[in-house]
Amino acid sequence: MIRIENLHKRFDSLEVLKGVDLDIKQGEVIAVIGPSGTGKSTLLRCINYLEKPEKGIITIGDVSVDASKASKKAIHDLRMKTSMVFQSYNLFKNMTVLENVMKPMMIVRGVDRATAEKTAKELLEKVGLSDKLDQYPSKLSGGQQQRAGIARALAADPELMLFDEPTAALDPELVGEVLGIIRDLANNHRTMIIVSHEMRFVREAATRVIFMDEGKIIEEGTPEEIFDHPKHPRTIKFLNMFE
Amino acid sequence: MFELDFFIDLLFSLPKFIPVTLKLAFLSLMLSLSLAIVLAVIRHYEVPVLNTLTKVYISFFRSTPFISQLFLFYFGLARYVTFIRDMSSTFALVLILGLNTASFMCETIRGALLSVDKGQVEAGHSLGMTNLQIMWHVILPQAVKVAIPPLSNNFINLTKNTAMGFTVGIIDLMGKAKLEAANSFRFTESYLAVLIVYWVMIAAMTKVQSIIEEKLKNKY
Ligand SMILES: Nc1ncnc2c1ncn2[C@@H]1O[C@H](COP(=O)(O)OP(=O)(O)OP(=O)(O)O)[C@@H](O)[C@H]1O
Ligand SMILES: [Mg+2]
Repeated sequence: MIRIENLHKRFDSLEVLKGVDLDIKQGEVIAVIGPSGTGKSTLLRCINYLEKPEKGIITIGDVSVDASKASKKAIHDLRMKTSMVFQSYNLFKNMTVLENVMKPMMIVRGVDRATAEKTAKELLEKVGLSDKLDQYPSKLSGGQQQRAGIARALAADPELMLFDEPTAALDPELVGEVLGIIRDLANNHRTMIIVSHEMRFVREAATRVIFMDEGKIIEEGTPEEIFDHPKHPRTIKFLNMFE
Repeated sequence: MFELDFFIDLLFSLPKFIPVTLKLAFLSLMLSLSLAIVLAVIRHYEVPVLNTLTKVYISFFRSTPFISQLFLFYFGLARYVTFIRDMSSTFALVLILGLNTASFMCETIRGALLSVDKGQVEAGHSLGMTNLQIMWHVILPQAVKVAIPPLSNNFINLTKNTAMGFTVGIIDLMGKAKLEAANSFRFTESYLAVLIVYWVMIAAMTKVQSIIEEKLKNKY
């Protein structure tokens, strides 16, 4: 059970999240759509405390963090339950693909080298990178880097995966290979939140679509409800841009 | 007249003192590098109080001549502090040269730490790594690569600065040349010989430096 209650975040005078509430069930694939600057990235970043919200409670399984009294330990526990896939991949440049996936397991959870290596190799096979294990990120295409990023996030064995526009920085011909992997994860009922502008993908892969505007959730529903029968005028206006 | 025999004799006897100079350089390097890393991390995380002290420290050592720092310490403070008075001149030189060079290296290392993009730090946090783990496993290895070329320049400057040791009575390359010159009054021969020895030695160090840089470049 994942619950976000009354989440508020501001940057100085700019109020970015104005009370976001969201309940997510195990296995749900939530897509967040909305205009630029609406706070979609900020929402994801607050969920694993890359940004510290001012107010609100985030609960994932047995970990609950209240922003007004968030301890270092609680934040760490929360981060252990989530993992993030970034638009700019953010692989560790001093580590090979294999090390990017196995080292965090060893460092953060104290997994022994042999086990970490075995798990990492399995995950990298899943994302089709078995032939790139010993390459450094600088030698990979964007699509390959992002697939490595997904394998690294999976290695943390998270209860919730967060994807912030995972294909936005990719050349068009590389988008498919990354979306394919995310779709596989969705089909296997991995719980996740995806911020994406790829409407076709959202429609196919999401179990629930959330439309955000100006720091609030304006409308939510199944992909059919949102895309075929949107109710709120702002949703209609936003979707019209994609026609 | 230029006394060629004297010059050649000295040219071949001076290298015996290279180990003294290198020992001074390496000891100061160890001290300055370890101190510089600590100071750079303090600056990087803007640790309260320590950050301000570090800034003052850096400003002082960068903005005053090394020779004045050495003299204040070795001749000035020694009058009031017993342990400085009892200190060997080698120890004093290594200490002040280490402190001095650290102020330059700190800024070099700080720049290198900043060169690692914030995205990687965020990735580390999102995976549950602590600041210290991110520093050790992600930032420092990349920063070292960036920092090595400027740090080896710092090291070469440091090696040349060891020549100041003669002013506190150390018999290194420069100290030996000074003695020979004073005893024989053959200043041109003595100082030309020592310059050539320094030149060859530093040129060799520069060569090693470029080999190391080439090796690092190909890694990632
Ligand atoms: N670190 C920050 N400091 C100040 N303002 C910020 C910061 N991060 C985001 N903002 C501002 O907060 C608002 C929301 O940003 P956010 O990145 O969450 O939008 P978004 O919905 O993800 O937009 P996009 O679709 O363009 O990615 C924007 O106005 C942005 O300029
Ligand atoms: Mg965004």
